[in-house]
Amino acid sequence: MSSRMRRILQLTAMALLLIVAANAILLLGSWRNRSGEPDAELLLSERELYVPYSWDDENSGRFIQLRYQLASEMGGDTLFTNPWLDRKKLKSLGYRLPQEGADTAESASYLSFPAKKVFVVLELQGLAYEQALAQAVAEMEGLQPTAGPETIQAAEEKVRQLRDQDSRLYVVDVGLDAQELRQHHSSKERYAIVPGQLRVWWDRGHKQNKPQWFSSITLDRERIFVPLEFAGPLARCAQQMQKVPSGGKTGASGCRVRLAFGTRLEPWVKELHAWTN
Amino acid sequence: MCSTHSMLPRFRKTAQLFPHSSGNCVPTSREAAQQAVDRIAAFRQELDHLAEAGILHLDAEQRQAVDTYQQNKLEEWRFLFDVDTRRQDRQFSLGMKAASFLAALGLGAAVFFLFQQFWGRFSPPWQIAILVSASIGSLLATMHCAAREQLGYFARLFALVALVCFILNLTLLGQLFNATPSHTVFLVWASLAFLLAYATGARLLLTLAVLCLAGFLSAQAGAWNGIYWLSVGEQPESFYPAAIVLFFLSFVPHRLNPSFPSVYRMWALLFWFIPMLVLSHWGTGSYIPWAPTLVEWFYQIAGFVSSAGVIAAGIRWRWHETMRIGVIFFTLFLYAKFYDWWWGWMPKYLFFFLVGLLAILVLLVLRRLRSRGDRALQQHEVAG
Repeated sequence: MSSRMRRILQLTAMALLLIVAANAILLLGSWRNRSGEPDAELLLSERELYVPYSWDDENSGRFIQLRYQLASEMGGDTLFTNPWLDRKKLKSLGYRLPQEGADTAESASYLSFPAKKVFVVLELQGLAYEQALAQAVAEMEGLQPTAGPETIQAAEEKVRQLRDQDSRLYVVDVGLDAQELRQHHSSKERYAIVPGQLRVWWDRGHKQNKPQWFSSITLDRERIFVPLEFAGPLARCAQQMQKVPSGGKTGASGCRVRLAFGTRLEPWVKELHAWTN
Repeated sequence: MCSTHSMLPRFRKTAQLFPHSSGNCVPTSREAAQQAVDRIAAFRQELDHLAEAGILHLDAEQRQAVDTYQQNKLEEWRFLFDVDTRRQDRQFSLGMKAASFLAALGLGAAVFFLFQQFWGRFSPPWQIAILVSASIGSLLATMHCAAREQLGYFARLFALVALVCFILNLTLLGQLFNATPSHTVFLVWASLAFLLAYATGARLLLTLAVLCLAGFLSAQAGAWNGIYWLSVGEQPESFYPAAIVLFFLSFVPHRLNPSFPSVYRMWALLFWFIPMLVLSHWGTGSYIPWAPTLVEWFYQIAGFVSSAGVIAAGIRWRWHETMRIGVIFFTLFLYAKFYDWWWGWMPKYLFFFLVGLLAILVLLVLRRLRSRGDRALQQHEVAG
């Protein structure tokens, strides 16, 4: 056998080994994720999931997407403020923040940190949702009698959406240690801990020259693959969602998805069915 | 270029086929053989020119001996390596390379869209089987072609398709099981790309391998500093480990693929200088805990010093791509500095006039460097 042939055979063997090993490791990891007791199981509705009305003909894969909310501070003018993500919390996550007094320094009007890998705690229909709803109701009831009809209507619409339409899945905590987070949020039917990214930036603020910390949180896996066995129920879900008029009440029909999160915190669809009243 | 040890059995066979071939100097790769063919063509042209000018005239017997020897060599190398010995062969080869590249792109895209169109209609066991089979099947097709053909056009085509299949394999399986995305996958892709590149001698595959490896190394460097791997571009210094590794890889002997070291060097320098250029104007993106202005000054000075050093190294060791990249980035650093100093207050026509003058100065410097290089080469030849 020539040296060239020998070399090609060696390279072939190494490449074959690499392909087999890579697939084996990936499949083994997925099997380990789904074996044993799940880390969390959430029963989500169409409010917490985005189900496309139709799919691209060129892509036969079926996905659903998580819809979750980030709490914002009362009176805040940005969607990305998390009041529980204060200076102490940021330092515990490893951020090297400027000194307290330097927040108002002339030289630093904007400071941004690269995204950090964190574990995110999602809470389903818990305290964060109830507080957001209570806050919206309080705002509506606190409107002055002299407030215009448009203002009143907007406040009522906000309450209605929160009560009937918006996702009840809220981000309530982040951390570097998933087990530590699970100790603080122990209910597996209410809290899911998932990998994600935290981005933090500091801005002087364009209103009243008030500097603030802003944050945004995104999940590593927001799109969840739906296996072939659930393709039929998913299509029925999509049809029923399409029947609900824009702004209408979603309680007449919907989807129920039992989403399990395994030992590696990777999700999979355990159950999926459409329902009607 | 020439090695008798590894090529001896093959040489015995060619000696039987080419009894007039003498000497045991045989190129070790197609690239080396093609360079030898080009040298013979240049030699013949120069010999004719010298004869016309009356400088050197070989008698009929000598000319016959030289022509016979060289023709035998050309036939031998054409048989062994399928080199291009005529101009039209070269043009056909260029056309075949372009066609092979387009075919690879087309087939790769077709595989990608084919998977997307149909994969959701299969149950998970079938999906796994199809994805793994596609990777293995295309790999075997690649190696089969690599073993059978000298020129390697089909081997390179299938190699690119094999890499696309493997990338799809892991990506779609990850989506299927909702796996958390990780930068480690770049290392796996790089590994296969390297194996395919060395099996087929394809520089495009080597480039893809280098890019995947650099992606992994920079993401890992970012991860060690607590940065999410997709945000690694916000800390350009994360690319320096990749630059250093690639530079050292260029020193690994590449007997069978002599053009590979220049690919490693080129990308090492790009991963070195581009972050440096960015940080010379954006100090806040640095890991160094200094004031941003100080960081920018540091990288501006480092940029000038390292680009000058790279130019010198390129001249010294005759690394042409190294010297060119050094010149390009030295010029970029200089133009950036001019912009910082003059753009705000200098009339635009004067600014661009000075930029043009600088380009002329660079031209004169390069010409001087070139003549110094020629003198050094002549001295080396005389001493040898």
